[in-house]
Amino acid sequence: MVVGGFTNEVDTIVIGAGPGGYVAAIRAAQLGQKVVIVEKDQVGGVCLNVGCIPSKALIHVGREYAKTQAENPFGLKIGQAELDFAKAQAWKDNNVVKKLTTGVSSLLKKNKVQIISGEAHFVSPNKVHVTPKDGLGEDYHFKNIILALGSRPIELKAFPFGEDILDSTGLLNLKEIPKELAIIGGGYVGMELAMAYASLGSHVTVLEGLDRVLNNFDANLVKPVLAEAESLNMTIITKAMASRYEKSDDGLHLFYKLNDKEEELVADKIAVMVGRKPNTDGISIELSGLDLDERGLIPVDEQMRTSQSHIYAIGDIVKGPALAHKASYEGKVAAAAISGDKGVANDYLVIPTVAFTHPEVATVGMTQKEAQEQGIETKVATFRFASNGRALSMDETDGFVRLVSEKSSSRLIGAQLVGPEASELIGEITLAIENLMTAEDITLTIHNHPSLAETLMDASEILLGQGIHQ
Amino acid sequence: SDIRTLAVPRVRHYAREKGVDLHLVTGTGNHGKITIEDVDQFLSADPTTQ
Repeated sequence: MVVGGFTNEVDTIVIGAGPGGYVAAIRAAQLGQKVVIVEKDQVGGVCLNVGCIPSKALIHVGREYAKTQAENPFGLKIGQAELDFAKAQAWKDNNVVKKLTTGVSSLLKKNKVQIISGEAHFVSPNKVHVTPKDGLGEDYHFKNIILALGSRPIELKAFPFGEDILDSTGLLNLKEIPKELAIIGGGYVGMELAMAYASLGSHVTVLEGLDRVLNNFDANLVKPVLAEAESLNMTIITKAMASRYEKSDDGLHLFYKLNDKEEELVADKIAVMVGRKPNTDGISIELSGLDLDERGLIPVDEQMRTSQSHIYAIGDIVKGPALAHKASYEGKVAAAAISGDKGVANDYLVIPTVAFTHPEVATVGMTQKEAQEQGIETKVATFRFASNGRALSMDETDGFVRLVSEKSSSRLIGAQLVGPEASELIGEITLAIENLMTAEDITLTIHNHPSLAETLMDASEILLGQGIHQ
Repeated sequence: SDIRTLAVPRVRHYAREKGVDLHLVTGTGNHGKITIEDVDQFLSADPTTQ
């Protein structure tokens, strides 16, 4: 490595401009710190460029297209609908992703955060060298550093990423809709994109190693999603271990083990979405004086401080779920901690988790089973969207909301939702749980009618033994 | 018990700022929650805590 002679002096340097990094940088600047942010790729990170946002855009296009293909009960005949996929991709790239990433850049500038493009490597615990794409780069000597390095897709040895074998990024950026698409990994990322492409017209096969897809969610919650997958003509094969592939004239032959037998399928594209790993291996971490744990994560205290008190770590490189909203929250904690805020801490009670399948699945807090495992006696109430006027008027009646409360205190401790706008509804219950509210607090709050959110009030009434609509 | 079940996020922040252990504070708020006033009351009753 060529080390430039010039050393910059900075207060706070943030490495990585994803949802953790850019939020940390802005908050640090708001709190009066002089901030430099380093990004080797694109501002916005995985979430904005190749993750949350573009996947939601494609899922939306898929849903809109699927509506034109499905029969509806209210007499709307659409006829032959045509999708210009190139235009859909251009819309996703320019009108959604670019608009947001440009917005993030201008927010950084507005807050006087200096953006440096390049790859950072530790030189010492107090200094990083940033190498731009071309040029020698410069050293940055800092008082505090926030590491927001993110994560990247796990590659399977027998399926190296390339033209044929796609990671989530490759799958999002396809130029054409594949006729036959095979997806290895039935977690939420795999199932979201599987359903998006199935809605767009692909025949999608999902291979999952465990005994069911969306394994992080309880089986009842996944049922309506599996029913929709079936109506989209998807093939889901569980307990299947993908072993290798061969390319021939008629496509990619994917071999997998099922019940000790080798089976085979043929696809135009294969996507591998089996998980992500932390990017803690590309920054010369050994020169920082930090140790990684066995999973490659950086241990931190409740203010996101590492074993080196001036080095902070947030997001996918520290423990907890790899979620954008977790990273941003931790970014704000780290920024405030650097500013000397003694009260700030990474002490949330719950984090909501959402799968943008159709219907959407969203959970927060504990399931009844998880509560019981912790010795907590619970009450549970379920309310079906089929009994909700707004859901009926939308012709989206599959699914339910389920609330879990602690029997002794009546406090809400968990919610599991599957159905229309579950991703939006989960916010109300997250607020209630984090603020230690009870079912009674929800029932005494007037919910607008008609709305999907009324289901949360209805389920709360059932928890109190005074259900009205079901 | 977990302090996160004793008070809402704002009060947890306030207690940390003041160096107060929420386990030692009696909550007078809804459902036994500890309020900002409870933390202040605790501090004025026992000024050595700070």
